Amino acid sequence: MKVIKMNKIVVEQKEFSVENKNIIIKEFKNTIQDLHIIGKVNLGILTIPQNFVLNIYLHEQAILNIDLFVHLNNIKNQFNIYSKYQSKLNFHYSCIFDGNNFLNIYNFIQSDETEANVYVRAVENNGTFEIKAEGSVLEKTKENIYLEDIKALTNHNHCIKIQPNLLVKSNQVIANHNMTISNINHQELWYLESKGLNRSVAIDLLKTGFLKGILNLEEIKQEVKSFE
Amino acid sequence: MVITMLKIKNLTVTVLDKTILEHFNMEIHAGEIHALMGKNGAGKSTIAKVIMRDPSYKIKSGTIFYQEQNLLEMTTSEAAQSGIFLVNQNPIEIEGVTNAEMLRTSLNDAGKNDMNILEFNRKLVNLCNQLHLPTSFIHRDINFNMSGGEKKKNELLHMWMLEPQCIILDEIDSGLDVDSLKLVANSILEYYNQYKPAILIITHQKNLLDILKPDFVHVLDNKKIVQTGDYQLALDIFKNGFSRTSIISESDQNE
Repeated sequence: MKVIKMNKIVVEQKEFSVENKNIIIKEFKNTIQDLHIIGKVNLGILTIPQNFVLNIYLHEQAILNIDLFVHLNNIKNQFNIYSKYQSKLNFHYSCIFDGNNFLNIYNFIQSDETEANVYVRAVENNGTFEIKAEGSVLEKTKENIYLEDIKALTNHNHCIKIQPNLLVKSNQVIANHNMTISNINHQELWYLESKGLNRSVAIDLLKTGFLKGILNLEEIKQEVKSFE
Repeated sequence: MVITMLKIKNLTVTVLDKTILEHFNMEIHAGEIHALMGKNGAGKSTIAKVIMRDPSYKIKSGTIFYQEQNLLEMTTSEAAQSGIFLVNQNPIEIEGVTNAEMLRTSLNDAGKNDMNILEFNRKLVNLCNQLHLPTSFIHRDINFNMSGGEKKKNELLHMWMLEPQCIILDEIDSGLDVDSLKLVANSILEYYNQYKPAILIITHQKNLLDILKPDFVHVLDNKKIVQTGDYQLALDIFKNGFSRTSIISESDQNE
């Protein structure tokens, strides 16, 4: 397994550009942040401020792979993604949440031949979460792909609300969304117990596995593990 | 000295108020290989899951003792930690949890992990080679995106790592091609020769039994064992079918 060593940085400028780099952002200093992506970028995000807005501008032919793992505690966060010609986005958002939290993801597909894959995995510790995901494919655009897959695990029957919204004004688009809110899968839990894992350990492993399942960057996966 | 591994007496099991097993009896000693055969839907997988303490199955009456301990008072984890291992017919996929994570955690929970991380990895690498699995399987998510054959070999990887004393193979041969079946059966035989566990095989296939040669063959019908014999009984069934081997109950035949 090849592990890419990634630099960890703190972003202080309000407008920040990344070009052909692999980086991990350990802190954003601004609550409204503009991020320009040029070329191929692998980006890890470890923390976000409260009431945070991240505007991501994918320049022409940019490829952005974002892995994000955060512990949300009374946090509102919003991601506005603007995709230009032939850009590609893989957005992987994993979180554990306490308190009352909001996540809004807006994808504005303004050009042709773009691809956006948005994955969200949320695990309740003890709190509520409202997730709004919106894909907006503008008129006169063509051959765009937009996929959303949002799943949440709850164990206290607190309120989790997922609101998908696809606004498609073009005839040439592949758009799909999938949303699930569930408890721990009992068959998976029983399987792990049948291999000798104690129940509480198996539940923790399933939760972290659920969160890690969408992540690619080893450093971000390690953060999930260290949260166990 | 003969050690009784599993002793099942007068067991009656229901699921969703339907009786699946009734007055079921079976005794397996250490070092014995038993085969359980029967028509589809006879309840063969039920006994495997009951032994593994699947909470979906309700025990109405009867007892199961495992190495003289009351198995019905154990949780699934406790049963596994005390040495029972089940290979499911369709092993479930778990995305995000790797083989290595699960195995290391399992050994820790059972208090059996006397290997450091290097020894643990080395053992997994050797076992992957032995099972003709790429070493990448060590860090693959459990059974996730694996073919039917790979899943069964992956289960054997778990078996070799956890070193159980009582193994239940629930149609391990289903979905395997000829070469994979041979490899899987030989791996089980090698494990048997090394550790002499008790093995209960649930199967419809001759090829697996040809290699593992069970000491006892039981036929399950009408919710209970209706006949027990040696390997020859299995050969008769493969040759003549259940009904012509005159072991299926009259009421069942009338149906």
